[in-house]
Amino acid sequence: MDLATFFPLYDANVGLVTLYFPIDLAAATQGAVLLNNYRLGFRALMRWTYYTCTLATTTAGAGADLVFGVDGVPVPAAVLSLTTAGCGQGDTGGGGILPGTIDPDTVLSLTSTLTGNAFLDGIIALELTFYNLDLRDVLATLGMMAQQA
Amino acid sequence: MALPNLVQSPLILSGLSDDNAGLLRLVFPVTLASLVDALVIVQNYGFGFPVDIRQVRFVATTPATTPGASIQIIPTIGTAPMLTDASTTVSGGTLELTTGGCGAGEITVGAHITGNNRLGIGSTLTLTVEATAPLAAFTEGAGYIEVMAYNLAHRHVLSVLKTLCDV
Repeated sequence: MDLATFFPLYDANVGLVTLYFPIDLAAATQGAVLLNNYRLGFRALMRWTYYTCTLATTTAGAGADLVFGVDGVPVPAAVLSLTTAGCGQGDTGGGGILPGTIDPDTVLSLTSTLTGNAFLDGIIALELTFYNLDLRDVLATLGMMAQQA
Repeated sequence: MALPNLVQSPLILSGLSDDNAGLLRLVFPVTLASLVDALVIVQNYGFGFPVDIRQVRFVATTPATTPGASIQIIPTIGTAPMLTDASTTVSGGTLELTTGGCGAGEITVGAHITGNNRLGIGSTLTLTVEATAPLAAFTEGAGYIEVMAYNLAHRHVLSVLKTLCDV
């Protein structure tokens, strides 16, 4: 079922679900697990990752990659690279996209790898945005039924 | 709790579902001590699709104890790229945080939003701090700012389906 068939203008933005995780940057040390076995519970397709720095870091030369894992397997294409320059007050930035469909039993994880000095301070809101594929299927089915009626 | 703004977001699926259909929740964690005058908490946050801002609120997770502390958080809307001073202030939505309202687990709801709350595809949201007089900054406490917004694409699809199904 393709939602775009019935709603081509709005298809891209329907059924989005966003999760927010507050991350204390000082906790993003080498190998730290920041999210472990997070089960989404519905069929989903990743749209984007994003962050907003709500408390600027003052650490010089800091850097860390936040790496997402799907069922324990790291996804190199979905890395969120954080640096001192990118974590000024109010800064926002985008990250990678997890490939493929996430099943209800899939679990997500997030680990950090240092690429510079360890952050001593700073806070970000980490954002994961998905399509809820179950919801999109329902809407597409309703669209088909309405068209046939 | 202040009533949500629905004036610019017509849908009316039913009395129960209309308020919440297509509702998004943004979460921005903050420490209260960092919220000084003119601080930009969130700068040029882009949704990438049209939204109506419905409500701004704060949930305290670590209590504030500073006597008499008080600040305001002002939501503004602009077109990316933009500077904060070139943006339009949302009518209503101002969030006033005080020591008395920031006990652990307490929720402070922003003023009722009455207009200037629509973001187009290229629009962005900025949240800034404005000190209230007499100035008394927080020295402790933490929590998160929640911004509730309607995904207008989602609501449009539901509205079309409602019309087609004549329910």
